[in-house]
Amino acid sequence: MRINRKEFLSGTFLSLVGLFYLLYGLITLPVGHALAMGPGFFPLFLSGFTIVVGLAIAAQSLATRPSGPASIASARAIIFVSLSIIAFATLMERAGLFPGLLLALGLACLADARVPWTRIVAISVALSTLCTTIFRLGLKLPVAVIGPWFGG
Amino acid sequence: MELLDQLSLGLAVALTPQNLLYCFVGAVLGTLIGVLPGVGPLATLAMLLPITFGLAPAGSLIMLAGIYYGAQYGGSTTAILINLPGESSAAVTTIDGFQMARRGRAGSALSAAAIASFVAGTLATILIAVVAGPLTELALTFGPHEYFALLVLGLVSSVALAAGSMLKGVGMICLGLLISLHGTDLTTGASRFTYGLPELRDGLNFVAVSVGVFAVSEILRNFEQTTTSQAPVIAPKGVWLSRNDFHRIVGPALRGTAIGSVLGVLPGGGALLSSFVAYNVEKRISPNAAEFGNGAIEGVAAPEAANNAGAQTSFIPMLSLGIPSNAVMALMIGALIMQGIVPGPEVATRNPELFWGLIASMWVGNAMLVILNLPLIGLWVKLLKIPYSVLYPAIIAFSCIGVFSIENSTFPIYQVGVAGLIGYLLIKLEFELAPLILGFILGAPLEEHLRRALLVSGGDLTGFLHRPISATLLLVAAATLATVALPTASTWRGRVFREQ
Repeated sequence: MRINRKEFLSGTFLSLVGLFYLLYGLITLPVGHALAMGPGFFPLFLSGFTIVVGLAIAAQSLATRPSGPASIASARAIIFVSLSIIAFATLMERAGLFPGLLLALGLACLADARVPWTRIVAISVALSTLCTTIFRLGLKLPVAVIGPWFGG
Repeated sequence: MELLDQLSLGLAVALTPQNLLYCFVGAVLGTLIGVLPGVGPLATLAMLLPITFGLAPAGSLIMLAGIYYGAQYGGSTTAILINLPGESSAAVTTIDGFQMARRGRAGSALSAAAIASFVAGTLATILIAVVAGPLTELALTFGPHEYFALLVLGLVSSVALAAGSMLKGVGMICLGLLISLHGTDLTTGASRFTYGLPELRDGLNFVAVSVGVFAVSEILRNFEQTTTSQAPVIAPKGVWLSRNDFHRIVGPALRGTAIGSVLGVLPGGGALLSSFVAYNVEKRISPNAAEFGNGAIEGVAAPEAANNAGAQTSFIPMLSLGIPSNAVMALMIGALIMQGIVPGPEVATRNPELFWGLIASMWVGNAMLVILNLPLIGLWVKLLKIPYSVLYPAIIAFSCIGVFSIENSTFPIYQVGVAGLIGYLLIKLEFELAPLILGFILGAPLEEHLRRALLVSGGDLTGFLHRPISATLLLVAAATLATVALPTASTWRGRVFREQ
């Protein structure tokens, strides 16, 4: 059976998301009825509709030819970009704006496998300084430059 | 005449030193970031949204609008100079614009783009001023049934005219609507999908989701290319148009404006579709058709006029009806909501200085772009040489800090990460992202109008069909869905969006 795998995955993904909202909504929210819509009314019909659309997409994939392989970003890129954002969110208030930026930018630079470490340090320091200046000194963002972890 | 009164109010607002400054900053920032390789206008707007929150609503929208058409202009600049459109609606400009640059006529191409855009911007502003008022008055007569139907039609047509599979577009709208459910249901006060987390009681942060979905996913997408060729930048030598050039661009600019104005108002249309159609129309009727593809100046003027007109007229549904016709307008609506303004026809009557001030400042912004950018070409050319390895960490840093500054909370930053990953997954699965944001923005009003409509008609769903306006709107929505699903329509759409 010729199947377009990407389309099939897309449809399945959408249906699964819809299913999650459907089940979680049914369990946690009262639905009410048309005259007095409960908080679960709209989610019920919406998630139901989403599941149908997802199934339709998946069904359509059974009739289309498979498309060629798609390029995808390296796992390294995905991991380090995500880590960078998470690190910043976790550390910014505790370590301070400047240290948080240093770490986040360093991690972000690591996403690119080709950049030499000297450049990573240079970019991180430069951009951290720039951002701290703009946001803390320039726009008076209410966050410590050096946070409680380092005695700020 | 009432229109003149309204326009003078608008100009009075737009020409205050403060708003002039915001317009200027917006236009410069927008052009700057529009010129930078690898950063699109949606990512730019989402990233810079937090900066505007400290400003008054009028100032904030004026700056955002300035960023928007500044980014458009920056995108055209890269299209002409390095054959890489800074954003999708400049894609058509690369065809003849880059060819002109290769023949040493980059300056003329840039001037043609700037002047055509300015003409389009001026005429489009007048059109907006004329149409927005009456449209708003019409919308004020709408009841919840009509609003609901209008929102449905807006959502459906936004995927009908845009690129990508329509079914998947509808799927994305649904996903956007679903994620808008998180938080507190305003009418009943119930917490929905908050998983017990108090931070989620206000729902997902709109800016965080937008930044993640547009900016972060774009960064991940840029990591797919294993080879980065720094394209040679062809520096323009002068920016004047010869008399002959000038005569040649008048017609295309005017025709492009007309096409863009019409297509821009339609949801899902906007700048991209307008530029494609304008280019093809011009090619068909031009006496210099043979030159197209090899550096015909009409091939630059027409799409540039069209995409600027389209970009501006896409403000009309947003300003008068509160309906975003594309992702950019969704971001504008998000900005309005965060300023505490409920988008819709009441904006014209309750905040006339915002409404007319924004319209007037669009013209001011267009003028600024022409005056400022042509002399600043040298600066933009230098910016083109910034390597992406420096840019993307900066984008991440700016985005995270910006998102933090909205509520001084780090929780939304996590949302950026999650949204970025999901956004990238959706891109890989070939889903379009714009309908997602549209659904996210319109979820709350859609449910609200449905609730009120059912209340008014006593729980009767056929109430939608008994009222002529809502019935018509819903029928048009259904017809749009049906027509676009036809095989002939899909080949036409395929051809329009693959024109190269």
